Amino acid sequence: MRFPSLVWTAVLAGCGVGVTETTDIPYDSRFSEDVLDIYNPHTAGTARPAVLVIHGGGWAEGIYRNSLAPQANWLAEAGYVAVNIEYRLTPVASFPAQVQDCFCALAYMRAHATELAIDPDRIAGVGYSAGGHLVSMLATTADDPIVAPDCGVGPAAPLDAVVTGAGIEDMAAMPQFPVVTSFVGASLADDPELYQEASPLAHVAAGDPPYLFVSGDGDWLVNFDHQDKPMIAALDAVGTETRLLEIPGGGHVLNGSTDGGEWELPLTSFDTPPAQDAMLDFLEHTIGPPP
Amino acid sequence: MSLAALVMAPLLNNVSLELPSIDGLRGAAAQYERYVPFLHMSVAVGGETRESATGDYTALRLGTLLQLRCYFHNSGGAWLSRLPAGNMDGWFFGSSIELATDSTHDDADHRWLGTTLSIGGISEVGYRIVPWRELAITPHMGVSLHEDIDLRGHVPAELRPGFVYGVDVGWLF
Repeated sequence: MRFPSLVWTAVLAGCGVGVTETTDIPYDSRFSEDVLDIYNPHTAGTARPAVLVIHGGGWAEGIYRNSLAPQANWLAEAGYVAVNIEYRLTPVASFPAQVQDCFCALAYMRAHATELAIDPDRIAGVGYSAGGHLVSMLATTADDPIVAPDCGVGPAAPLDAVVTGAGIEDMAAMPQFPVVTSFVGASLADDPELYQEASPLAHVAAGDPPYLFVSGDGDWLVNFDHQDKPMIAALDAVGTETRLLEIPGGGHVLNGSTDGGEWELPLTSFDTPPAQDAMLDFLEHTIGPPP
Repeated sequence: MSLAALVMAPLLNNVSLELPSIDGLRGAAAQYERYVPFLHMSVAVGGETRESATGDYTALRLGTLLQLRCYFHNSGGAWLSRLPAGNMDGWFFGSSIELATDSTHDDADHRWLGTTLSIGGISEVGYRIVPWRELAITPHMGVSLHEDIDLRGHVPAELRPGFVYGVDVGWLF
């Protein structure tokens, strides 16, 4: 059962956490799925850089935004306003609905910047797996009419910085996965142009925002050589700043991180201390430190 | 089984290498284990070093571990093991505490980004076989709980549960 939407506010300051969590805020009233949670540091009134957090899960029903709630929480504890969103998933909707939803959420953040205490010109995106793909689309396709938001918020504007963990950048490089076929809505043989349209790699252009790629070199699902590597080359070619942090042995969700010499799971590359260090440093460098 | 084997004193020491730790040849984790036969228990100390990030960054992990193991023996000795009963082989339960640091360096800007201290514990079960001479092969699995603490205070402390599994290869003596 879904709680009536409105918002319950859990003030965690009593636990020493210092973050206010406001949940289930609709950002596009046409779709019940399109809600977001806001994790706000306790400094009302000060415009802060913000982070749009987009979960993965193959764009499909089954994995939802609670999977990245810990990341949203620690980003807020670090001083950023973190907005963790839900979006329409397959099989209910396929491309470009997911990208349009994310653009609508980004537009919501900018339209409500004052009440959310967000600096609308300093918004980064953080996403993992399918969420990594979506933040990358938000960075590269703002002028593409196919993915333009249709929720009445005006034209799309790109993110100001991107952190993509194990993100899919080239749909055509993994057409054998049913989640990809389901997301794109066609097979590669039937509609290769749609695969291009759904791939951030095909949209790279001068002026794209800086990227931090976080990847596990043991990721058998989203292969670094087929995804991050060509994307980094394309961004470098147009003069976009890129950074890469690779976790040796890191898998997609079965991270080979060898704590104590053992394999450990479930972890993503996002959950490792080096990734958190690099992510916060990158955010400070691109959208600025929290006030 | 020969009389000599039956009366052989238990082997008291084991040195081992965790195979997952050398995955990718970017580190190693080794242990020394000392058996206390009358308690059917052992105590192990270990160390780990690993390159934990690459690319435009470098991260180094240094860790140490202390583990207590309790072995469960039966009169016939452990399955798939050539040692007589009473040695540190067969089923065991282990509990360990770990302490590790992860230090991350930004290679592009030539500066250290920070160090994370990880304090944790693991409870696990395993089964050691000794199929040839004193060669010990020990698969094990369990659950872990770690607290990651950023020593600069930039990253909030995080409690991180996990599931661990591995196999170590060692030599009893």
